[in-house]
Amino acid sequence: MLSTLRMEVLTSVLLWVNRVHDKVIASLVIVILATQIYRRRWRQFCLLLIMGPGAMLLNLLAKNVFQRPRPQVDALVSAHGYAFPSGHTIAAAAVAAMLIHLTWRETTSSGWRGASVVLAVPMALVVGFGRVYLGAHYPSDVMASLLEAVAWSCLCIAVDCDRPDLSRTP
Amino acid sequence: MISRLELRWLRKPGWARLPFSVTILATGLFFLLAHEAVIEHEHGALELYWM
Repeated sequence: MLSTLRMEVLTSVLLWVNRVHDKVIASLVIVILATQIYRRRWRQFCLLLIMGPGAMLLNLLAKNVFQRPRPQVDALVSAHGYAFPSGHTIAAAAVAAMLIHLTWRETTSSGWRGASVVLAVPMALVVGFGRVYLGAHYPSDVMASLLEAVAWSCLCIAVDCDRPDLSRTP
Repeated sequence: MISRLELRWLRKPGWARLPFSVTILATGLFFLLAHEAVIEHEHGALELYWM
């Protein structure tokens, strides 16, 4: 059904997103982690390392546990390996979570905080929609990835919030 | 009798409890989705209709 609704403009945009997204994700991860090293924030560096690249490793594990084959549809991109959960989506969602967490941690400005959510969340959603639209994943693969990213990021943040020095602050 | 773990949890401010609660909720939904999508409908019989 979705393949019959494909539009030329949307297809070319999502193909472009699919092509550049891994480079953008890798660049963002490197910049975020390098900034933490430069500022000597080792705890934050470890947290972000576990949150972002850790989520991608967790996804590899989940793929091998569930071993779901790719959908048999006329895909516009070549995809290898197992389908469930979507690797592209979790990479985008994990980086989105890193950006949001870092912004909320560094500033109290509601403008910056809002901007980080408005920029990062659609980024993950567009990548996820693109993977389904291009025929590389089932919708449930993308939904599972988003849930996995939320669960993993919140677990990392929960561990970070468990510090004794934060227990009495509002 | 409240255990030390429960006491520690109750002493946390509300905002500090939220991430762990969301983790539990999202993990539960993930496994529910995995069960429905991968185990019950392994080859995406329902989803392929929409694709």
